[in-house]
Amino acid sequence: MKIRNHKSLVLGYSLLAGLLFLACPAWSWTSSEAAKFQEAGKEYRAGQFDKAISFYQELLKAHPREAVLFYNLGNSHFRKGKLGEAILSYERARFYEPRDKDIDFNLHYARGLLEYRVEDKRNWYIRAGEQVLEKFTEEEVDLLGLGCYFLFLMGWLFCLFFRQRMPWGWKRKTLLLVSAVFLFLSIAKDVEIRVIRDAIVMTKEAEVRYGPSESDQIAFRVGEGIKVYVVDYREDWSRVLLVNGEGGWMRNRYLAEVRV
Amino acid sequence: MIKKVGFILVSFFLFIPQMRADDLRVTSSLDKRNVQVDEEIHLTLRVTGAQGNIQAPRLPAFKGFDTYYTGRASRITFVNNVSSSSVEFSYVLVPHSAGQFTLGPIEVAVGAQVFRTDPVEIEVAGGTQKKVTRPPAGAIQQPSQPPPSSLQQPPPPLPTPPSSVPTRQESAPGYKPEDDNIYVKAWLDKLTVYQNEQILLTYSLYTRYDTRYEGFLEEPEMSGFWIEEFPMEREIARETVRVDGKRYVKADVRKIALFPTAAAEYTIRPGVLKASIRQDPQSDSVFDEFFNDSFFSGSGFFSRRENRLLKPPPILLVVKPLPEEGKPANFQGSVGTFRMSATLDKKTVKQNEPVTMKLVLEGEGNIETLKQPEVPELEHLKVYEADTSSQLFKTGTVIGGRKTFEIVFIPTQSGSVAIPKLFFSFFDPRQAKYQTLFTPAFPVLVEPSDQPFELPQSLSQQEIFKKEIQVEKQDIRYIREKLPDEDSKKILGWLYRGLTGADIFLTLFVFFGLLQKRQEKIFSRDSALKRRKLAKSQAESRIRHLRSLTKSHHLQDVAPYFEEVDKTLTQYLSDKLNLSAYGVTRSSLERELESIFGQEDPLYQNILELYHLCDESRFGKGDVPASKKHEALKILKHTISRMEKVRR
Repeated sequence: MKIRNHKSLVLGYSLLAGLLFLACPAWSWTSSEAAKFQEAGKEYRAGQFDKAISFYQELLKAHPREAVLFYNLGNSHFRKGKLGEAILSYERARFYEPRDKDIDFNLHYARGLLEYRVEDKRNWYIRAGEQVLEKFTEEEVDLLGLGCYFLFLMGWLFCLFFRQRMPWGWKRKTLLLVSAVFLFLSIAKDVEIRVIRDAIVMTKEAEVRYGPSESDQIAFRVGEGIKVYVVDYREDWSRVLLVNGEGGWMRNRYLAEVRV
Repeated sequence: MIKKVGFILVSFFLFIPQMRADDLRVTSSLDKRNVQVDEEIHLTLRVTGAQGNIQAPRLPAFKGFDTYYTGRASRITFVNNVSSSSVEFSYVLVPHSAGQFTLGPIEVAVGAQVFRTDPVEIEVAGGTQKKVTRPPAGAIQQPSQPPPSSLQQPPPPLPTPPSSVPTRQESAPGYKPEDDNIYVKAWLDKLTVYQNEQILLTYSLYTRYDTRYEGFLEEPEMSGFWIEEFPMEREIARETVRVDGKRYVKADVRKIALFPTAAAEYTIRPGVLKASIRQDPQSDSVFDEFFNDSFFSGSGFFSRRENRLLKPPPILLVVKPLPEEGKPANFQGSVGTFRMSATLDKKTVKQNEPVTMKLVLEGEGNIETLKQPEVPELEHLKVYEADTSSQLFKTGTVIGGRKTFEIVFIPTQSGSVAIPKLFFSFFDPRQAKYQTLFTPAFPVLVEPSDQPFELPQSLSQQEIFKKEIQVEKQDIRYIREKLPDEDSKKILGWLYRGLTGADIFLTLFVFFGLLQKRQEKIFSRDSALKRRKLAKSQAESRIRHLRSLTKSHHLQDVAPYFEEVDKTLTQYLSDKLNLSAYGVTRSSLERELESIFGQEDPLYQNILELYHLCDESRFGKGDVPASKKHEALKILKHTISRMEKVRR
């Protein structure tokens, strides 16, 4: 292949890649935000959990993907006795920092205090799959997939530029296999996030009905802090599934989705 | 790749048990390698690093040797900060012919793993036969590390009440063997016992044939029991018995001591024994002769024999739970009859110096599972467990032994302290009641010392003596007070975006590259197609050059311009029409164009006119006006445009 024939193409895409590279948002904390964070910690230590909550919520507007803020917010809610809010915050924290031990511990501990308990009756492979996916953020899975795909493409380019036949050896096969695994993980993660949306019950006791209206029969009730999977919507109703296989329709106002 | 991945996975899974196996070791040793015929050789199999109960390994049949098991000894030691446990199994080998022999390798199963010892050479001289030194009855223990002198001899037998005489409980009273001239009875000395009480399982072989016992083909199934192989005499006792009017030779070929671990009803499957016989049953009249040369003497070894598999029927056993009534608070599950003694290595020590108590439990019962008497919390004494060793031996018709515990006391304060009485309780099944033994209280005088307290080197690794951390209450973990490091996120973000861009770019690049490669492949097969497809792009490239020439107003540039136009047009048309660029003539071109467009087509006329102009410019007097250059270019472009639409 003659690269000079595609000089403009190369230039164009290099420019695009450069723009993407530079276009990443700023993550850094401003000094006022840092001061607010310290202030929130001080209020928490002083037992002023309401104030701490408002500080953390304010900071989350500027940093909506910050696990530390969700974690501290979860602790503040926990101290206030709002288990549903606390669990929601821990779940959100875990969404962005899935391997953090403290988040896991507090989430597990808070769940242990719930009034309702739902037995997980799903198949072992679904549970195992969920556990694997929960250990990675969406970006991490995508990044791994992109990295493998990049190496795969570089191999092809090598072949095209130097007009050499790429050996179909085990290295290339492994790379392809790993890329495929990450691609699958990436798709699965995407499905988990966008199609089956996790949500937390935010009221003391919520009714789950057989249909999306008050005239439908109540199927069962769930308590605050229970995790459900939202699979469908109708105006102000959501169709939810529980890990024990039960499902039904629930008012949207009783639910808060984990993914903001 | 699959093979490689498979190899890695297999290696990984194999590596785990390998790592565990590294701690386990099985070795064999002989007390001598040059012996006379009939002289005893003591073989010791030592298993180091094993956890839990290990059954005595069954030795394979060594040709030219009689073998018998004589007992076991176990030991837990702490040397150079490392704890180690070992079990020794003792055997006696008696050669009955001269020569050079290689014994082994001997296979020893520890858990699911099988270890092999190194083979050993033995030279047996034939000359003068040495008188066999038979072990005294009941004293068959030969530990490789001799115990202290005070404990070297087995204890005298404990007083046995008359009721304890074992009554034979044979399996399945109505059992009829396949061949009543040879059969095996597996029987227990008791059929109802208490939990952890010793029972003896005996295999009695009854035969009327010339018989040779060849071991077990299938080992007995005895889950739920702690098992100890019963040491056998060198010469298996034989006797003549009469059963249902027939005379048999009877021999007890194997004995196993069993200790049931829980109260329940058990079914013991005794396994399958193998024996070889000479077919004709012996008549009563020649019985004595048979008695003399049959069984284990090895005579008739080369005669024609037939193998027999002997399968005794299952045996039912009822195991009762230990009574709750009268159970002492310090009872730890020991069942049998025991004695206890204790000694202290010194009566006067310095502060923070260790003093060791040696506590010996001996008697009949499951010695291996005996637990050390509990030492109460002592105010000015730190207490540590040290070495433990045990030895098993036969005492009459039961297994007995001795277990020695070493307990280290370190006084932390000077003055007079007392090591209190230690209590050991056991259940005596003969008397059906609990008994409690105790050591005397030992006064110790502790002299003051400036030496700081230090855990003895040999004890510091003993995790079991350290207190375990216990969670008293649970709560959530504390908030984060530091802002997270943003650099890693930045790098990850850049990497993510960079890779996304690079991947999009590379995908397109590879896609176009592959297209181009495919096109080149097609062109390499069809050069006419290649010329046709590339004609336009090449012509356009030349037109760009012509455009730059159009801008020139010099008269001398007109002729080269039209020359270039001529070349461009001819090259383009010959490529499109697949004519040789070098051999093409004007007339052949005109014919081709006429066939495509027809004579009446204005473009055809224009092309002819353009050629005429080119000729005039090149070969005429040079009076072609510069304005004609634009017209020529226009015709050229129009020609290309029309030709591109023509499908041939």
